[in-house]
Amino acid sequence: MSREEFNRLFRESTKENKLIEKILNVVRKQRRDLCKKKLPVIWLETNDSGDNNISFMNSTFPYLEDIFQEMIDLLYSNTFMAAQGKDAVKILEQAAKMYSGEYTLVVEGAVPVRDNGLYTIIFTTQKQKITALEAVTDLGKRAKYVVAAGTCASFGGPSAARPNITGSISVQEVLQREVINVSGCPVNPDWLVGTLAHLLLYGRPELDERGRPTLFYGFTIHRHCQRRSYFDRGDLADSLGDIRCMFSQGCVGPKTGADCPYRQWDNYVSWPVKANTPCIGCTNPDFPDGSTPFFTPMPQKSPGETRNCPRAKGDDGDE
Amino acid sequence: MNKKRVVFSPVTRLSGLLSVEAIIDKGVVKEANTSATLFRGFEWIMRGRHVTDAVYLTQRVCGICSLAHGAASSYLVDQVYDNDIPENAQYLRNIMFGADFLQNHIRHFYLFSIPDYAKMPDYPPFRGQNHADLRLDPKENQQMVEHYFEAAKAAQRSHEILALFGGKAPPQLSIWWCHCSTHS
Repeated sequence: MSREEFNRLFRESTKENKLIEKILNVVRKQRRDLCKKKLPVIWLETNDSGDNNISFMNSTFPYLEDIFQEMIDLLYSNTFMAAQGKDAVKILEQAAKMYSGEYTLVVEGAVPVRDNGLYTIIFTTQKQKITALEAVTDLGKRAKYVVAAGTCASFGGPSAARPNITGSISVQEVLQREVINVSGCPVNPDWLVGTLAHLLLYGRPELDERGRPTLFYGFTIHRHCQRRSYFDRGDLADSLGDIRCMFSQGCVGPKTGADCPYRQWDNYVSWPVKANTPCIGCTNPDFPDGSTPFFTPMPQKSPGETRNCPRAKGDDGDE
Repeated sequence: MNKKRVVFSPVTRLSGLLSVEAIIDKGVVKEANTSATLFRGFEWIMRGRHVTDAVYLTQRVCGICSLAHGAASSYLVDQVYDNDIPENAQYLRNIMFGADFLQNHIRHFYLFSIPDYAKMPDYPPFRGQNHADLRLDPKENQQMVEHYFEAAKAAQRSHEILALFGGKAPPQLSIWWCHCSTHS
């Protein structure tokens, strides 16, 4: 559409909604012409909680409908796909073949390796069980991009928490190729959808030394926290629920890369510190072991010990 | 012997990984087994950690029902510390719990179950849908499909309610033993 036509559109549309409708159509058409294909995505759910796809469903602007219709071709997804059983397996095989070298593999969850990966089985056929280890290794080879959604996939996360009896490891440790880590427990829908949008429009985003897009993880929580002035003045909270800086209550903001203070969560309404609770560092490579005990100040955190924690009634100090 | 082994895997549209196997002998189901094929060992993960960590850690058991685990842990930790929570805290917990329930029910029915009953539009992730037993008439079908997408928005709104009090959702942070915080 030429500029003159566009200007005319503005001048001639008098009713407000008619104008917006027309503008939207123009934008949609331009977008469609620019990026004619949607991003083909194969979404594998492995050893996880399913948090990340729930968070993905919480995406606003674009909503789920827009994502499916205009952004991604979600070829295989255990959570969303209509097909089941053998039909689903067939779709996966066809998709991997048809889009070989083009699809984006989104892995949600860690990959257990102990006992040949027996602890996560993606599906069973008449002849064999397909473990997550096999599926990720195989599909990871032929993918154009591999996105690890969530902290479990990116770094092991809660699935790999001490003592990690399943031997769960991150996707990057399984594959010999670059993996884009979009971590978070769960990942903020904006981070995941934003990364997919970036892949669709511009390709690989800039990544930090942990493989996470700097677009979202470049700064620490601490840098933009609304309570930073309390911290700078040494005004620390006496207890949970206090409005001052919660470093004394276990906040891990200083070592956590994420943009929660201004992006916030769930349609941008709130984030942990705003709701008066300390950040638990859910995007960190050492989450959760590096953040526990959650309510002990950072310098004194040590997984497995109970120093400086409120004692329970009747607790004589032995574990 | 007319034994047949039927494997139905993966069962899609749920939270997690599920396989079903049935042994059928002369048209009668003799054995039916379901396997949830995803294991992390949360009981082992919980051991040796401070009991208050349970409130956040157990929420990582499942994403669609995370608050249920957080709430159960909070009530248990309250008992461990012999705490009575103030009335407002109880209300806040109830609201948060209710919001997560709502989200769970909406998502389970619309996003997980409707594609078994209504003919979904022909683009991924709905391709390859089994059309063998669809019984809705076209008008009802169209309505169900529209509701599917509206439900995605409604469930998001439920989580928004949860996030207002909990900081974020799915797993939220402000449900604790002895009280429930909210910004003043």
